[in-house]
Amino acid sequence: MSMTRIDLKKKWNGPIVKTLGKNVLNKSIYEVGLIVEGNGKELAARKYGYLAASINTQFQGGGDELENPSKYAKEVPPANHDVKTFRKIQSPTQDEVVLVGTAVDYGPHVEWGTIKMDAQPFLRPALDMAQGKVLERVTINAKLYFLGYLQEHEAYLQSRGI
Amino acid sequence: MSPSQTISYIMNQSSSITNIVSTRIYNGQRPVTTVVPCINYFEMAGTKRLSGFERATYSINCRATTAETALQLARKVVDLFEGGTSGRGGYGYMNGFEVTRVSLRQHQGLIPEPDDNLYNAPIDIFIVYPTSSVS
Repeated sequence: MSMTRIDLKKKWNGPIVKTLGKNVLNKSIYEVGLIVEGNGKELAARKYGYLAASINTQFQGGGDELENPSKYAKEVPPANHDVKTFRKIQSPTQDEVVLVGTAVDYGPHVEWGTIKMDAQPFLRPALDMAQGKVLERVTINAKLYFLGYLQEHEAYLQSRGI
Repeated sequence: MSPSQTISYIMNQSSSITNIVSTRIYNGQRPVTTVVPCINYFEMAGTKRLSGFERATYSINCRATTAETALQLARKVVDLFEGGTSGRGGYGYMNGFEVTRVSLRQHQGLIPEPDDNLYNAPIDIFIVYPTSSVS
């Protein structure tokens, strides 16, 4: 099958393909972020559940919400117990970036330990566990996003008898 | 020699590190004593095994009373392990190190421990070795 110059000019859909590619990337990295978040919640040390519940995933302009600490609590907290830093992490300032983490002030001390307390890493192993998932998510989402585009393209070619 | 023994051996052989921490290099999830500057390192979960090789990630924590000393110590550790290979301990030429996570830019990546007036500059490295070489 030969293609003429006119065909190429008519069918140059660069901007559409770029937008679709960006959507694939953004969706995939957010999903990988959610996988890291899930792993982190499983691995996080638990007492009153604030640490596990505080792990959240944010992208530019969105993200998920904090969960209820009672879901992860192993003990009932005292009546006056309050974690002031129990809030969402900051959203990234760039597109195509996803942040996963916790804003609670003692989070780093659990992850890396202190001179008097054993480290109980939860976020770094969670990230390591999700490493193999990136390509998998990109492949699935690329099929999802580009399927419609390719079907439209196919219909166009058939309508022109190409 | 196990991977953790190898890491300890390499750090203890480096005068640029022992000049700062003396012999206070500990294998464990926290230092044995509260005297600083010191280093404690431990293996993290998730060691991977493939085709006769293992890849283990180690967290190396450099603590000091000032941010500058903690960062300086961390920089020495990074210089020691970055892209390094080691024939030490019978690991042979396939033994390799790679610094995977570190931030020494300004004071990013530095963890204050206000209760103890300390700073921790952590580094993650991974070590690759043939499974059969671990004795």
